Amino acid sequence: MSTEAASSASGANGPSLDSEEREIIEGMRAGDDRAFERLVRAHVGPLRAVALRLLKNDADADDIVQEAFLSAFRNFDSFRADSRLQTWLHRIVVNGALQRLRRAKHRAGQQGDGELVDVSELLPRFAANGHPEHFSQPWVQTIEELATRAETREQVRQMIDKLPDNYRTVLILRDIEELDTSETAELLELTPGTVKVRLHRARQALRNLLERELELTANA
Amino acid sequence: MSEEEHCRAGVHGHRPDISCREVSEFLLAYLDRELDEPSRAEFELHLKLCPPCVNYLEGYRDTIALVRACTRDDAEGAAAKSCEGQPNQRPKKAPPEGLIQAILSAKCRAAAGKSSE
Ligand SMILES: [Zn+2]
Repeated sequence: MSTEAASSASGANGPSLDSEEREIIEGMRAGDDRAFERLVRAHVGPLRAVALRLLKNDADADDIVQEAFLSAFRNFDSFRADSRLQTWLHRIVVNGALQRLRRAKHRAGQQGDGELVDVSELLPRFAANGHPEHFSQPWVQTIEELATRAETREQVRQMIDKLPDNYRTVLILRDIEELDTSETAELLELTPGTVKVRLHRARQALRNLLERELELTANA
Repeated sequence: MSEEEHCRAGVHGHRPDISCREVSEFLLAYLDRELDEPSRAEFELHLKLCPPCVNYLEGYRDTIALVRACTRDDAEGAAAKSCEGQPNQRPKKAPPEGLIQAILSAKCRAAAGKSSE
């Protein structure tokens, strides 16, 4: 089959594929075992990180990544030449991880792992006249200062993990994986409006948590 | 700005038509540039008059930046880069060879199953 159409000058995804990617794609199409191994080695690290972020559990993350590569192997015909392998695999992994989260939720009623925060308690509060109950202070440390400390990085990740799944998944897909609102909505089976509301609340709750736990204001 | 000053700005100053509550509510729309022009102007006028809302907005932006900075390269490299010799650091996974091998053999089984059908 010809795939030339998409690869001419205007290439939808910017610069042309690097030669390694092209070789992997051609090898996969030809059923070459080594191409599959190269595909796995090139992408397994970041994909596992995404799965782990969503699932918070090593064994589940490994499982989902393995399933994703098998699915990629079986359905390589559905890979379209005008997208990147990374994007395509990322989507498969995210989908698999979200499905697993949904199933786990049905099984357990709610997540049993660790304490979660109540987002509504972390949102800013206002008096009837619209004035805030608490006046925000500037933060005394910069992002650069905070992000270079391994301990702080770990704390931030733990705080993200404490958000309930409804909020956590939206925050991860939008702010970490950098999917857009409509992609996120589609993957989570939500409306774009709901994605925006949840993202906003998740950020507000996290803002509050970070400020408090990392003591980011002068008179905290 | 003290609480008192803030309230005074509301009473005597050029009072913006939106409240701090609305600033908080429409922050995402503002940052995503989804407010229409008059709302955007009101929003920015409020920010000019209300330092606490500016602080809130900056902390909100910093939250997004911090989330990115702290998760971006946690798959690899972070340990080597910012290691301060902390013994209690999570063991950072090198390329997960065990997982790679598991995937490769699962695929061999899948391929064998497929061809023997
Ligand atoms: Zn205000």
